Amino acid sequence: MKARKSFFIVLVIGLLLTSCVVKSLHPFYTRDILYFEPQFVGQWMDTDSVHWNIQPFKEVFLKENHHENPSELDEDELKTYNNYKEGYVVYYEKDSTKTTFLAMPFKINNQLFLDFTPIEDRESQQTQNDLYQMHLINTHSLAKLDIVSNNSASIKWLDQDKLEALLKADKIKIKYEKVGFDETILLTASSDELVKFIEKYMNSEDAEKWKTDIEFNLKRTGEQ
Amino acid sequence: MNNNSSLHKTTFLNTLIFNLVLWICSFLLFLFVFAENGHPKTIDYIYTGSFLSTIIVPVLINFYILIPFLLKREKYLFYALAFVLNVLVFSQLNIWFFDHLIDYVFPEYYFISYHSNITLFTIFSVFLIVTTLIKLSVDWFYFNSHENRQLKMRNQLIQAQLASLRSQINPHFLFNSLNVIYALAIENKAETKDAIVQLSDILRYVIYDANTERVALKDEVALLKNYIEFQRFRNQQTENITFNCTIDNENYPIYPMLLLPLVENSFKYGIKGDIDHTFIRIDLTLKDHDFSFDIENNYTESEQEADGHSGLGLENIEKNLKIVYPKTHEFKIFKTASTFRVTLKLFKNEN
Repeated sequence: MKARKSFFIVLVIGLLLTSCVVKSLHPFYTRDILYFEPQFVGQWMDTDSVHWNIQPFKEVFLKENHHENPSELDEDELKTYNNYKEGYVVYYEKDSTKTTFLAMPFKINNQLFLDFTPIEDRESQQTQNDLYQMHLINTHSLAKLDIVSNNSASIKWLDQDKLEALLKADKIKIKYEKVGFDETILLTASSDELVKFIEKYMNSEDAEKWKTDIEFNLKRTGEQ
Repeated sequence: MNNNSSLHKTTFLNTLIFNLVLWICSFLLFLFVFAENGHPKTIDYIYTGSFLSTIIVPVLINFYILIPFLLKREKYLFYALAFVLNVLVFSQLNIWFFDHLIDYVFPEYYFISYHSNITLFTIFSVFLIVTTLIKLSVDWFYFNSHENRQLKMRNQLIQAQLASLRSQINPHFLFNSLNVIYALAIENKAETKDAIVQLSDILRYVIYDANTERVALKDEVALLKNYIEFQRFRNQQTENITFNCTIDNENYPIYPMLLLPLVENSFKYGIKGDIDHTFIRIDLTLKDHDFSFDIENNYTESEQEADGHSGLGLENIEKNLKIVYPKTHEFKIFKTASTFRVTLKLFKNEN
């Protein structure tokens, strides 16, 4: 009885945490539209006093592998470096918890977007055993990035409710699967198709198309 | 003019029905391919209809320009090139413009995961190949039906021609025979009743037994012998009539009533023509399926020319032979100042 109650609690927490943003198996970008925006690099703080540290992926990668420049990387490392060199590593610190994301910036019709993928969750990794970790897979999420000025920016995630509304109304044909107990929508469309979807969504006449609960307004707190 | 109009109307109707069936089937096929899960939704109907409208053009170009002007005129290489070009051009046009057009017409719909560009090229290629095969099959079906109709018509025409020729022979023969009996009756000859019985046998053969495509040669020979015997009642100089018959297969199939007109002709113009030197020589041989009929009689030019119907019997035979033994016979006429000879050979391969 106790085990069932615990399972139910985990399930509810899981639902609260995993709903809200649109998740995809494939990246929301294609290589030809990647666009590194240096202005986004630096220390930021959102309205909930959450600390965001945005660093260029290439610098972090070289530093973590103890190299000065890419020519010193081995073949596998160089492949990873080239794949993500336009990206950012996002260190997200909230209530003494630290998580790390890979954010790949890309531009569609002059609008910046970020493709978020979780890289590391130190707290979870300490508490969860290996077997549990083996069953997890990182998905991609889509966020719209607006750099309002040198010191302020906003990040709005694409809300799952918007996608669900389109699917419910039979107004979208996109590959997806429903996964897990809560039947979370996981997009399985290719990156080309996802880019096509974003282009179309940007032209949507829905005035509240970017309205979401997962929105962060950032203020710069230090030097870039 | 009415026939042409009716033919065009039928062709138009067939084309209309063919296209209607083809595009309805194609719509259903694409609908279930695009819907993937077998439960098409509104968006799938819209996309399928729109997609089909872009593939109609290359298919119709193929049906009504490339196939009739290149493929059916045996310009295979040009057709293959034009076919590939047709696929490439229209699939590329689809890649360039279709998404923009459908998004413009249906802005509230998101047509995202239908097919990739490579799949689109495959769809165009396969669909055009399959529709070409369907079109050729349907055309072949119509062509075959048309051919069969033509063959039936041609056959009916031949049958009508044959019936017409036979109807010309029979009265001709009957007329001559009645003349013979009439001549016997006038002279009150005792053989009159025998002649009537023989004529009756001949007519039974002509009316009942000869109404088949082929008869056994023995029956045809019996007819000739009957006829010659019948003619003996009329002519005194019968010792000059010789009939040599050498056959190795008495059941050899032969067109009925083929030889009688030749014998009739000889009696009419030979025996009657020159009382002093009359003769008829008939040689009939059949050896290893090679049939030969050789008939010769005395001949007086003035007698032949005086008769307005002189060539009718031979002409009928020639017409008959062209129909019943096409390219497997040889019919020759030899004329001298005093003899008239006809040879007929039927070649082995006919049988």
